[in-house]
Amino acid sequence: MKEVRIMGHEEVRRVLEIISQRFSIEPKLNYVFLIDNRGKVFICSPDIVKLDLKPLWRRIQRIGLYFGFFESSTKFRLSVEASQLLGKIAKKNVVELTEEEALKWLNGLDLERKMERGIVILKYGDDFLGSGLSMGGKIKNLLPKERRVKRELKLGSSEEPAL
Amino acid sequence: MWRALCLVMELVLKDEFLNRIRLLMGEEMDVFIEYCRKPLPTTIRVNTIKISKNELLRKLGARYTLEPIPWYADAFIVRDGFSLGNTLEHVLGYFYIQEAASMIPPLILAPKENEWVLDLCAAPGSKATQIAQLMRNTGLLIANDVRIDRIKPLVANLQRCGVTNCIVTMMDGNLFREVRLSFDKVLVDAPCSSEGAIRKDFKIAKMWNPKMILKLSRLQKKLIATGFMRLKEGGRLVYSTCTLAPEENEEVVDFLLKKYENAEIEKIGLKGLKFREGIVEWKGKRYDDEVRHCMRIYPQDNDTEGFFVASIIKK
Repeated sequence: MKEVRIMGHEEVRRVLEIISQRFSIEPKLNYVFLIDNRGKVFICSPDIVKLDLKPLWRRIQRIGLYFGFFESSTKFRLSVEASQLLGKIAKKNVVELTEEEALKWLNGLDLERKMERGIVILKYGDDFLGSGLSMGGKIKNLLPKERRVKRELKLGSSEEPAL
Repeated sequence: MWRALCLVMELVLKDEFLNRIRLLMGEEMDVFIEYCRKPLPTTIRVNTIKISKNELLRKLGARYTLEPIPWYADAFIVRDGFSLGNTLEHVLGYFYIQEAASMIPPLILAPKENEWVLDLCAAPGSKATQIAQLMRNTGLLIANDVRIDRIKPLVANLQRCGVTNCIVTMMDGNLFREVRLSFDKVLVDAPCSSEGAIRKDFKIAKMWNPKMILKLSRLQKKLIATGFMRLKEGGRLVYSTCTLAPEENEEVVDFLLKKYENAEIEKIGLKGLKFREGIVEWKGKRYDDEVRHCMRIYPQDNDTEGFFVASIIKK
């Protein structure tokens, strides 16, 4: 694993402030926040601070859950899991997708949408599919390659039969 | 296609393997072979970290026929489970496709909220993600594996399932002897000859050889001893394999009971699960009578893979 450290109070406050302003929420996240040297942020159970990591340090491959990444000093990209944690309480910048758009998104394609620039959360039905970067005329797909679906995906709910 | 695969399986099953199985199964040999010819049912575990059972049933219910598994309320058999891995619900981490018998060791381990747990041989993460959900994503789970090529799927599965209480390490499990940490629960789901998983993968039968069993038995004894060393007083260690070979199962548990006076085997079971007692004698070797309390699961018992599970308490 790349070098990782526990984030200070001010750094965590900055992440939460960006999220709070962007999605008009007050996230209550009872986690320890960590950051690696590439700016990737992870969240972990508070018990991590009770653990002496020194004997394991060189062996550690991952601590906690990947939460997001600083696109810039004012833009914070959310992982699929972070979008699931925050999407339910987000009051703005949540984009509702049609079935066709959801399939395109999960295939890793950008979406044509005119909306305010910045990070948005993608939603299909009651499911949150991660975050994207709105560039005015289109939403850039930020879904990690390993989470994209190459073949045709089965969508559907109890109300909607599968494709 | 399946019949052709069965024929291939019978051609590759070595006489020595069949003789050993006959010795284990006795009159049930034919039933065992019959079950090895049948495809394994597709089974899933609801990832309760992300979704409730009822909500997942609502989402999948229109497309799939889900039957409950009698001994685990959060798991289902999916009778028409073709391309289940290619559903939105799977991509989003709402369920884990996991063989039913492989769900048993974490249930026997029974980790609780805020405990510290070590999963010594964790990749690809089916049991580690199950442990995390049983702990309700609290406390601390260390999921270790020795192979770099297995760490990537382990990390990906923990992420997909939304696990926040886990640290992934990569090292030879035996090196945990030097790591001065103590855990409430330890799972040693040891690398094994996978005899119980022949239904899933015929290549196992082709690769099988008796020398491999003895080599693995030596490794398993080291791993179980290491796991036991890292256990707190009063803590529980669960040892499991997906093989039927007594050298890799009861003999390993017997080794631990003889090595450590404070190791005590626990009687185990799950309501609705059929299983057999551990074997106390095999090929001239006599094991501690207490190994009877181990759990042997044959494919014909619950229409699953074959599995072995033992639970040991540190007094």
